[in-house]
Amino acid sequence: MANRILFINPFKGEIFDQPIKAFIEKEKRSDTDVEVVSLKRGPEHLEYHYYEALTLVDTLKTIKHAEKEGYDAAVIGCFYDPGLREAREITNSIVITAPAEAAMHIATTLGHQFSIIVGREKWIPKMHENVVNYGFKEKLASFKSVGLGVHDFHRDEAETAKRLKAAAKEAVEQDRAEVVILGCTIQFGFYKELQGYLGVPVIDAILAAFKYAEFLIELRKRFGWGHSKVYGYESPPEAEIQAWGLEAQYGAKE
Amino acid sequence: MTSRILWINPIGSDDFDQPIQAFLETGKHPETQISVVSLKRGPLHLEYHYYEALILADTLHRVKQGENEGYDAAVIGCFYDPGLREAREITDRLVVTAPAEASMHIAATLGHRFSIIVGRKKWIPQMHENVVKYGFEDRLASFKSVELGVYDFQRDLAETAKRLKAAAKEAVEEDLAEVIILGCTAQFGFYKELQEDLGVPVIDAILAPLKYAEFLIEIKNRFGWSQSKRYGYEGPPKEEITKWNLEKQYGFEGIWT
Repeated sequence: MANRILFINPFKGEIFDQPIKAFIEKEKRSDTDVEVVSLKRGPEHLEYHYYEALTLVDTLKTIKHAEKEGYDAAVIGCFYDPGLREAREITNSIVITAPAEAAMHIATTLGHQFSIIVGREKWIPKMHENVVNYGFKEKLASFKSVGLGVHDFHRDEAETAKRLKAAAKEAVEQDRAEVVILGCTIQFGFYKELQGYLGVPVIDAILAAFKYAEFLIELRKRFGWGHSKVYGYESPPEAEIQAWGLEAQYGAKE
Repeated sequence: MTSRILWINPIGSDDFDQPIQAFLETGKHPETQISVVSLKRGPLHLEYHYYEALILADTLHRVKQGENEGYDAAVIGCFYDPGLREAREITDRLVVTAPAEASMHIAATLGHRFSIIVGRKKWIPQMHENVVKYGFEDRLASFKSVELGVYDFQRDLAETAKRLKAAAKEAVEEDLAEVIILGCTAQFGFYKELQEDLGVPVIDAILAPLKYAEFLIEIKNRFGWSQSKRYGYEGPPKEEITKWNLEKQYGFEGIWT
């Protein structure tokens, strides 16, 4: 039976849905089906923490829906991994992953130290928290910024490639990164050229999360290894959610 | 496309080769082929660090030979992950993984904290070093020992299951582990029953690296993501190995040339 993965762009605007779907389609396993969706309202990028806070409720709603529709996995498509913990908390029969988590697990397996190439310096403090949270503080060579916002990466691709190359080369040569992670999903399409240029693995944030999702599905289906539902990911009681009328208050019913 | 995985039991006995091969067959992807091998000499288990030191050369040469034979991945089948760093250093075309690394990456994704159930307390200090090295110190709820040696696990299965259950239950209830890792490859065959009993994921130390190896092969073949050859895993120069006559000195002619 096919494995169904929902890739969520957790912001408003469908402009990336088709390009990302096409990018994933080329690399998915033959027995995987993928859908890419974005949110129907909200900010158009998540460069500010306030924007991320706004999108959480819709992202989580989308994931809960996906679980009900029988998806096997959901990917939260932003390198801040927004709502990852909460998504695992509210689901049982679906596995969830996100780009930063997946990319760092891969990177620390492929080399001792990695660097993360971000768009703007603004992003670094929060992403650094995630590095620490996932346990990889000692494995971080550096963050590098290329001074481009989310919507700039595909505006002038030659310029983006040039800046990514310069930043990644510095990360490898000066900071001794053995692996480079592209720290924004919208940096898709650049990893292969960069990797050829640098001679070290360059981890694409979309492909990493997507392949990790396929891997987690395999573990869950074969061995029953899904997210643990004791302690941290223990779900809120449905009775309480009903009694408080949360669905109506937050417009969760469509 | 078929992927070939070489599973190495890094001990001088083939006692576990057949049972582990049979167990791996139950968990592998249909396109994966697995060969299980062990070493031709050496200690019969690795419960002492001295034994591990003895087997390193043979294990590394078996990995290198695996690369020469066209395998896509090698798994070093002991939860101490012996020689993992060195194996990655000396190879280019195959990916290498091992049980502790693979199990911890999986466990840290499935829950916040995990406990590792080992055979004997003796094992804990070195395994703890690996937890720290891999970055998961803050994710470790506890180590639990069931006081059984490597060869005891499969001797009295009912007794082993009983002890594993008691230890894992304690880990979940008292140490707040959300995921359990079985910290010895010879503990194979117990995870499913334990998992049903406990209601948390119980990671088997054979299936975890098998699946991680398949995953690493996939991302290598598709994206060219394999161990970085800069810095830490930079390979030793062949000319030096030849000039120093290492193959002859260690009895591994043909591995490097």
